[in-house]
Amino acid sequence: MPGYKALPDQFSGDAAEHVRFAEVLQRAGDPAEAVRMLESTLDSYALTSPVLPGWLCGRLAALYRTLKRYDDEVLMLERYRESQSAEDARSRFDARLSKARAIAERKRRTDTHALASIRCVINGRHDTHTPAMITPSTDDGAFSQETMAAVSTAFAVAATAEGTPTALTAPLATLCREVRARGYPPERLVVALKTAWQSAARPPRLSGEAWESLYRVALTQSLAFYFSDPVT
Amino acid sequence: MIGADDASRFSRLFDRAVSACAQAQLLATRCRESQARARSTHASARRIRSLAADTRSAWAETNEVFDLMRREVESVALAMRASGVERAHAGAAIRAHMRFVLYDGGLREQEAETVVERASHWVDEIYTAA
Repeated sequence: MPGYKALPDQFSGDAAEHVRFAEVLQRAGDPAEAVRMLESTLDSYALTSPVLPGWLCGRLAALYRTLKRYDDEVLMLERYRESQSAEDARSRFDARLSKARAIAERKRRTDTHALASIRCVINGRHDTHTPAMITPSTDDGAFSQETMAAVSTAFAVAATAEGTPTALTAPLATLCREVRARGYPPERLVVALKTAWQSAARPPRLSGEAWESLYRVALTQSLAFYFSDPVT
Repeated sequence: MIGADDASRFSRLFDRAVSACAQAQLLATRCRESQARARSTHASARRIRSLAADTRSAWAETNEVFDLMRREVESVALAMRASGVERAHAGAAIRAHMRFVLYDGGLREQEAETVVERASHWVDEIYTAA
């Protein structure tokens, strides 16, 4: 962590292990991933104890500053302060908090997320929660148009159906057969499926979350077909 | 298809651990390839020493990350075993979930399947130990 030594061995338990894992991620050049790891660890920790650990909060706050998330840094340090009952623990990060507030005030962004909302309405979808680390390249038209159209249509049909999206099963099986027949690796299947999903029209009443969930189901099912490894 | 019961067993930490494992393995493989290339092109001893140090460090980190993933996989497999899920179903559900995370994350078959195979082996061990 920036400004921190490795967490000493005397700290043990799940939270400490996760902090060490976040340190590895940070050293590997992925501070955003390290932040996500620490955030979920902190959430889990907060369920078991109201007093938050300084060795976790301090590291998370330092990473927020690295990522220029100054407001989050302030909130983190304030949350730590509020969670402590002993005065010396409450004042542990006071100097940092004061500096973080000053930076946050100076750098406060003017983006109110209005633009993001407008883009979302224009595009008819909001896929920021889809956990893609690397955006797959665009499909190069290697699959038959009929198959791609059938998968796109099946997404729209499955989106309006109740329960398990069975409408996708046959088109996905066809797509997988095509991928295997052409000797393509599974990465090509992922790109084709994502292209079909993105080109399908999301029903206006369907939430972004449900639409993404449909993609998850379809990709999981396609990979199971591809590897002939279905969940029994 | 993975049911809602199966899907709820996988935490965000599980997904992060799986992704980090594949990335760590990729990094370690690249280091090893660089070292092999340096040897075959008769690079200087200093350069080879430096690459060897990088490779050792990458492997150490890979092992660390794999240990964490192993704990996550075993914890899901133990929970499945405890609730009466059969070995074949547990293995397939874990592989299906991992494949989604890895391939949707943009990884290729050669990195992803190595990780999936190791996880599958850990699930088998948990069920064999019962």
